[in-house]
Amino acid sequence: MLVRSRMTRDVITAPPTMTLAEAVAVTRRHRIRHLPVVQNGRLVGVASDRDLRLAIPPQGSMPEEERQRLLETTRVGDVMVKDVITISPDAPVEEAAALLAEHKIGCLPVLMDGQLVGILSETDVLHAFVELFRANGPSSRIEVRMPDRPGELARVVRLIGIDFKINITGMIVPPLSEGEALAIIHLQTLDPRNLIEALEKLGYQAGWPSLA
Amino acid sequence: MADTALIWDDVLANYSFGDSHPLNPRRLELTVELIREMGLVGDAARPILAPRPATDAELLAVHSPEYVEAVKRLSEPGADEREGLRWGLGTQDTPVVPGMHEAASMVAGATLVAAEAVMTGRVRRAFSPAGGLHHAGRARASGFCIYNDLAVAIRWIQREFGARVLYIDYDAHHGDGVQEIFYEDPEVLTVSFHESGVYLFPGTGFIDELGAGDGYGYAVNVPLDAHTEDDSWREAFTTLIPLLADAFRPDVIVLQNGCDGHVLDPLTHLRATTGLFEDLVRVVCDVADRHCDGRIVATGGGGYAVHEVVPRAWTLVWATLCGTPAPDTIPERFLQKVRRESGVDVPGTLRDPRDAFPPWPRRREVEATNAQTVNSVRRRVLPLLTGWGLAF
Repeated sequence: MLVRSRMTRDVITAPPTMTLAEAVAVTRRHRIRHLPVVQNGRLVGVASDRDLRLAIPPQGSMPEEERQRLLETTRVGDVMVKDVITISPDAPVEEAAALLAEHKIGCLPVLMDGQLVGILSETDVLHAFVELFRANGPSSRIEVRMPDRPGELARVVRLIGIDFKINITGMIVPPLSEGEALAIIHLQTLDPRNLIEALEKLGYQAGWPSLA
Repeated sequence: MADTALIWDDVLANYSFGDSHPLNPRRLELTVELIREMGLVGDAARPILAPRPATDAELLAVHSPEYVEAVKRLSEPGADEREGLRWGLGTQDTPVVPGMHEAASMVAGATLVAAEAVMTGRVRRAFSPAGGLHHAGRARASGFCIYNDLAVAIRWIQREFGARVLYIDYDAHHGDGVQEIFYEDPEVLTVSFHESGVYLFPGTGFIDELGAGDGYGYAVNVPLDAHTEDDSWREAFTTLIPLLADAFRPDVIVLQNGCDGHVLDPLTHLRATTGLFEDLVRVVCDVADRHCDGRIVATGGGGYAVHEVVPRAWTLVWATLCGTPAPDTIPERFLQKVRRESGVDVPGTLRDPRDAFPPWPRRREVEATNAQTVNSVRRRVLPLLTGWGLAF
């Protein structure tokens, strides 16, 4: 799953000369939280709704006329973040997720050959993850705990697919404690009871709905 | 007018995938036997009607020609199982068995007979316990279901009578097949109460599945937390069903009565008792009386505690549809027989005694989660059905 398949392609951008008043109006109209700032076809910064909000003194903190004047005279280029973290359209979604988490940011402009070709928000990444965790077709979900060594997962999968002839519609193997592995497996069956019994007979811990 | 019809013939027990398969037709035979033994059927007001096979045309109103052809081919003795996989057949859940086309057509026909009897005014309500195969898709067998008898009956009702159908499904598994078939149809409101698809098959039925196109807003899902007990389930059902029915104003209700949400059912994690199913059916009867002269086409569905639960649960469903509260005590002769047959200490009353099962330790969290789900459904669905947010 690559960034290019999850990003928004029609990016709403602003020139650095746009006033704060306009920028606030644009983010509200399009219901977006990030405004990539583009000058001469190049990305020069990003203004988030938080950047815009913090740049404007709250209502009541100064005479309203003066506040309005500030909104009309301050430019996006003055408040934007210039040091922008970006990503390539060919990066996998998990890399985007790691960047968002590491830098505590809400979006990634997507650049190809220096050109802005899209934007990926944290919501886009979340939607992608929701899909990744769901199964491909009607399924039950079980969890299997096994020793973390070569061949164990293969043995489990073999039991499911070859011995029980059950289609695996999704699988996630999140890291667990030292020496142990966990597999969350989606199975195309309404009744995983016999399989669970067989897994336990082989010495695995299996849970449905969940391991304690 | 006779009041309520039971659709049954022993031939319906032919819908079977073998002795070791969880969908055991014995549950149907025992249900009908218990209903008979308790004297709840067979008089002028409560006739038994025989099923007939659904015709090809009736099946094709829902299923694709390629799929029906494949089911027929695979029904022949010596058919190549591998051909079935692309249709969801030849799997653990829905194996290829000789004669399955005939058996599945008869189930679909039984539910059609129920629909005919109700829509022509011959009876007010009808119950087809063999029906309720809600997982079958347009061109896909799934979860023990080959032909979707519910969808076939709903299509028939639409075509013959142009009626608006409210479909209510309280099987522990999401009614994904029926939902999918009518997903873009605003003339059929599908409502499914089920154990959350987070763990349980088919892994769908989340509240954001709302329908599509013209049918946006006409699919409703109420995923209940695993371990939900009677009170929380009843609360969710009695809150939402009247609101949805008032907003939709159906001409007839099609009701799927899967009883696998019972605490003793081996395939799910819900914790209902048999008395809950009686309560749910009564809510549906009230709504039907208010909106559609009482018309309900009811079916069975899931239910895998073959001896301890299904006959008791569906006898309660039947009696409630008839409007005659069933006495609680199960005849001794039936009880002895079923206990001998199963080796299980089958309860002696239709309704599970109060406190028959210990309360779930995390009851408060489960109730809170379900209450939040009900609120979200109200907020998101009712405005779509009523046009504006007035209902909330």
